[in-house]
Amino acid sequence: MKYAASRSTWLLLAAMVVLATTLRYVVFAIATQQLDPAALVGQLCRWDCGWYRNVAEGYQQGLPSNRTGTADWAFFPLYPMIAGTLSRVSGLSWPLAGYLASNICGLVAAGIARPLFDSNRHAYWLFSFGLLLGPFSLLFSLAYSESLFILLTLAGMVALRRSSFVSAGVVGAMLSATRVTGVLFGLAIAVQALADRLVVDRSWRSVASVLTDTRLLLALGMAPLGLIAYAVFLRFWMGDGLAFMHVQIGWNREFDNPLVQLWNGAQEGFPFHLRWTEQTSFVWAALGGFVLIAVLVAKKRYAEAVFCLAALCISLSAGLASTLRFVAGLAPLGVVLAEVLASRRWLTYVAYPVGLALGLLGFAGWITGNHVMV
Amino acid sequence: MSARSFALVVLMALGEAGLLAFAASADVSPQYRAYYIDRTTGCLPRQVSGEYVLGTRLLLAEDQPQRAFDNIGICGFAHSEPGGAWLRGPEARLRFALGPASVADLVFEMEARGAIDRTLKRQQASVSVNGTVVGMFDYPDGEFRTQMLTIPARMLESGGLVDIDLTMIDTRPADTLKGKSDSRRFSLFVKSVRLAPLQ
Repeated sequence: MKYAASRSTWLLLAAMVVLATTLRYVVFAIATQQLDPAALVGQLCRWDCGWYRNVAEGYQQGLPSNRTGTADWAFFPLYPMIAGTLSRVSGLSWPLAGYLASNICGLVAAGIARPLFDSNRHAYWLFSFGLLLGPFSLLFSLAYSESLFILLTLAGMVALRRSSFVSAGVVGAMLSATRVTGVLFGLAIAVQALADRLVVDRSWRSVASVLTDTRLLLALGMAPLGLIAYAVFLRFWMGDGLAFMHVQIGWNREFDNPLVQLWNGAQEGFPFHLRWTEQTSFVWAALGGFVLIAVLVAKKRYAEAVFCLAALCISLSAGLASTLRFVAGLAPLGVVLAEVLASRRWLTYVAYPVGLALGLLGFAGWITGNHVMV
Repeated sequence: MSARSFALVVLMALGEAGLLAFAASADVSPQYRAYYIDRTTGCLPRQVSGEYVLGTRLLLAEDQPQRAFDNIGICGFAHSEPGGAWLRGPEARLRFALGPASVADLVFEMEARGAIDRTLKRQQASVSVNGTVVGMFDYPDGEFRTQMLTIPARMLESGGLVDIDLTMIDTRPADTLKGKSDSRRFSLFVKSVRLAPLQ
């Protein structure tokens, strides 16, 4: 395959993973005055990590025993299945198995992303550096599903670039078993197919011919299979196939117009008030996401743009909480950001140290209890 | 596309639609349906120990230890926030396990402020103890007030359980109180609860 990652590329990526682990350990030791690596991994397992562990041990049946009705049905099964299997096979604790699984996802994600950048090596290395050591590299140390989601999204993007729709459909099925927004990859497949046809022939007949392409229809049918399988499982397991959606009330997540949610959040802080709150970070992360989606459109990468736009809007419709993490988990935005930054040499040189500093800062924030990436 | 391929695609689509329809048809308990699906109540009953040291004032604010309140809160209370927790929906329940030796008259206190707006100027809660209505808590404005009721010893069960049900006369939409999307309905913002021997 043209521009596939070479052996030396994989080695360099592995070195980045080792460097990231070492730097995180140093930050942890300085921030907490502890030297035990097991304590570091334990400290990383916060908030949703416990929910994923519950899923790995088996979904809850019956009514929740906590005060507000939160339950593990909200968490899709593929990531905890993988990390849980790793834990059982290796005998590693859940946090350590999650840490390992997410780091492997990060390494593989960076490796398989190589063809997306064609001859633009500067952008590729900036992207890989950002992924493994940059502002959101924390996601590849947490027992959270974002690491797998990013890996699968990149795999799907590679399949779409090659117009390999059946492969993209298989990846879509896995994405929809990882996070609810994964089901939207079906949209990306449809848009890419349409765009491919329009490049060849701009007539209506060409558009209509998409609907008679068996491989494409098969791919579109496969994309939601992960979600459907999970919904059917929940229906048998505890009686409500849409429990993953209904249980959001336990976290006070309310579905509304995403723009209304954004507007309500924006009014709480800067620039409406001279204060920077968690909500303000979420609002600006969402706005940054929309800007990068616009860049994708400008670059005529419609499939990726539609996927990111739909995923961001669905996430925002349920409230602003975790928006920073959700935006960071949209791989096409990371790819296009790296391309933009790599288009100016000076920006590239600034991006490396700034990205690394933000990555370590984000990590330090996480282990000391900051909520912004939760 | 051949007829065979077309038939396969149609079969797949129908199969998926059928599975989704099956998944969406919930077969759940009435409590589950009311709380998660219809959202007509904020009371999702759960098993609690009722463990409680008589006379202790339990503060519901988020910066306070939550375990003590979690031991007695059966349902109806939202997440703790700065200063307290909202009583969510029209019903809330508490359980105090005092032990079989409890024979004295008791006083139940609740410090709260009413969820009021332009259309509802006061909040009232009917208070039942072990299934019998004992009185009404009245929060006539938006200010914090401590309301109390006497619970005669004869109302206590032999096992020393005191189950207190609060039934609200009315609730207000949370979004008008908080100024953001929120379909829940609130009635009282509770700062503290206390059960103590009558002095």
